[in-house]
Amino acid sequence: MDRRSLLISVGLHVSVVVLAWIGLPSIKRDLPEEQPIIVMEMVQSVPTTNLDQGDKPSTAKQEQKEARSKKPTPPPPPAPPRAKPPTPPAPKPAPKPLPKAPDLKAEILPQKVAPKPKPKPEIKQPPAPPKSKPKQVAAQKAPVPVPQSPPTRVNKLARQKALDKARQDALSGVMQNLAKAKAVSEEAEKKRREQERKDAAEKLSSSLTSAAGNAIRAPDKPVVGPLGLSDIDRIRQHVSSCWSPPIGTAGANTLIVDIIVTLDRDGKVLTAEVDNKMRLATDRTYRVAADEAIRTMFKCSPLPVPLDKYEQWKSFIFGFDPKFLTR
Amino acid sequence: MNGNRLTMMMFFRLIAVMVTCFGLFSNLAHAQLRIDITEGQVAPTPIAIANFTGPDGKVTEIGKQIAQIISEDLESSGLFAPVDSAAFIEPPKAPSIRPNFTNWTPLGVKGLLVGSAYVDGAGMLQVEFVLWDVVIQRNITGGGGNADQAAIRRISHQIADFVYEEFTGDTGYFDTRVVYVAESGSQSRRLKRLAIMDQDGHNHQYLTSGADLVLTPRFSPTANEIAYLNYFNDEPNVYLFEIATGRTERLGSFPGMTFAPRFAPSGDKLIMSLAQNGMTDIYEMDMRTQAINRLTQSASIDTSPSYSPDGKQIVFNSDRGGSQQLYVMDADGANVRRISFNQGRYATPVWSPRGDIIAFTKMANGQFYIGVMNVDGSGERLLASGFLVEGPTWAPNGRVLMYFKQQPFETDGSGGDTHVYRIDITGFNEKRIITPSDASDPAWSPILR
Repeated sequence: MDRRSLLISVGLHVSVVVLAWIGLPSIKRDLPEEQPIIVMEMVQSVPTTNLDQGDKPSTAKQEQKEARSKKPTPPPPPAPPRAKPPTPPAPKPAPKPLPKAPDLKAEILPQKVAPKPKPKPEIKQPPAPPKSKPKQVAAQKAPVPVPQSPPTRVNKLARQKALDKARQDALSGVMQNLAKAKAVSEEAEKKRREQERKDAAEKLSSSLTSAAGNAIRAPDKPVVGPLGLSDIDRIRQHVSSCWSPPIGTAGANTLIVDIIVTLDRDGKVLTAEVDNKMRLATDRTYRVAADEAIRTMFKCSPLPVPLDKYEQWKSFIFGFDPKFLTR
Repeated sequence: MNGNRLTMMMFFRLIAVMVTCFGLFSNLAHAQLRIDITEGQVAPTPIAIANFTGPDGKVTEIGKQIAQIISEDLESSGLFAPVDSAAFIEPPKAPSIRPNFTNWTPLGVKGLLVGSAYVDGAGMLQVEFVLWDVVIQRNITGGGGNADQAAIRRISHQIADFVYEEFTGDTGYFDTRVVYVAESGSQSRRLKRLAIMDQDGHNHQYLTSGADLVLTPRFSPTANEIAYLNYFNDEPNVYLFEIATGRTERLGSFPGMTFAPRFAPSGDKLIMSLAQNGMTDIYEMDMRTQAINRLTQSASIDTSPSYSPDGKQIVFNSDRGGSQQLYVMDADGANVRRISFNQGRYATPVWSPRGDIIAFTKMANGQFYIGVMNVDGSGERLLASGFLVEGPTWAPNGRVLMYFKQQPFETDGSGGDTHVYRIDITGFNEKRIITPSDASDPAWSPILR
């Protein structure tokens, strides 16, 4: 029985040693050399909220403006031609065989053509897309031989007729193509506008969300920055000008008196109380120094505080430290 | 049993929660904007001392005198600036009436002293006073009592001490006296007598006739006796003078010469130098038995010993290092260490009643100086200088020094005037104490009350 327990004990000890050997890395290898700690102080130089400064909303607006300004510049007309390559060639060949101005007008002003009575019925024809497509192709193909015809020198009249017919066909084809292109471009334009609207809405919502986050962290409106160094320096100088430190007094360098001061909205001192009441009751020299500190606060009243930041200075702690007397 | 344990655990948890909450709330309470004021205006405190009135509310002649003495005391300290009573808008009628502070605020004063003083039917001087804080608008302190009419200056000094203490935090020193050596006659036939006066030079009185040359008088801690060096029959020895009776007594009879006496703070011992067989060492004497105990043993001159306020250490000067320097040792003579290492020679060290600094006379570059240094020798500051300035003595509050200053002699033998001065330890407000004749070797008494 004893031997068994001895064996169990030995076994457990061995297992503990093995586990320690495997599990504790510091036994097997040297730990990396400890690096010196560099102490850094985080200084917040710019205060708090961005909501009032309007960085994010302005960027959203700017993006919206950019999106709008991009609308005319991006070539919406070129977009449909890319979608359907056969249409652009149609206008090009048309001018060549037909040097007349109307063709050019039709080409340059597809949208302005719409108000004209004649083009309208032609434009209304495209509603049957499947049929128009083959026609467009035919019309597209038709102009191609037209340019080749002049060099053949056939009968002038026949040629004129052929030319007229071809011109009419070409014209109708061009008009159809233009109408089709216009319809396509209008659809593309609609889609693009919707997309832009969605993008702009998304950006605006995201920017508003972040701005709202900042607004939650920001102080209540109207948004006012914290007391600046200049504010604090002004107050310090004002109070210093009223303070008569305990010069020559025994242990003057230990007579540091903290006074808790409350002010009204005009900066006038309402109350001035000594923080260390225990020492006030037991140390006469400290009591005299505290009395002088309290006198200083009332003598200096009102303090030159920024009136719009009342919430931040309605209560102060002034530490009167005469250590400079012993320097 | 388990129930008790559970209760205990609950109790400790409750304590832990309370401590945590307390810590949190105390942090919140201190999360206020803090501004440290580390500079100020060093200027005398403006104060109004109203003429003391009689029972009818009218100013009395004795009340005028008291107000005058108090004003002079406070102003002489350099720490107060009494306002001329002509500027008062509404002079107060009685100390029991709360003043109208709006009449005092425009004067810019921080304090207002109001009092009454009159001689009652029994011929006693009745005095009452109240000190008001004009800025905080509250009563700071007050008091009163009766005294012999001849004590008008002491009463006034005591009231000035109250005011001084309330505005500086230090003990007042106006109700104190000074013993010094009054000098008269030509330099070849100089007459030196013991004299005593108030700290402001009033109530002057000669203590000795001048038949014997006297030097280095020192007050006992009770201010009832004076130890001094007396050349009786051309033999210099330490004597004791009892002020109340005028009785003198030689302290011990030794084969050598004794000089430079000074009392221990407890008053039961006295230390002095004894020159014997060409060696001058420091000895302490038991005032009851007049038994002496040698504290230093060197072939050099050890002299001018002075106790620390707690009586545990002694500072003295010695030339054991080749030049006259300051040394500190334990009260039993052990652990001697030099504390002055700057250029020049040092003499007559006196430990401040506050215990933090030591005043001394310094000789360097053909000039004499009065200075102070920390007890370890650091922080030496020179406060006054002159052809001959010597013998500093401390006011009982440790913030004012008194010493004497001698002017140089002219070629025709004239000059050499010697006067007592006092100066604040800040080095400001040096003032001469007016005495009937030339004065040297001042020693400031403890507070008399």
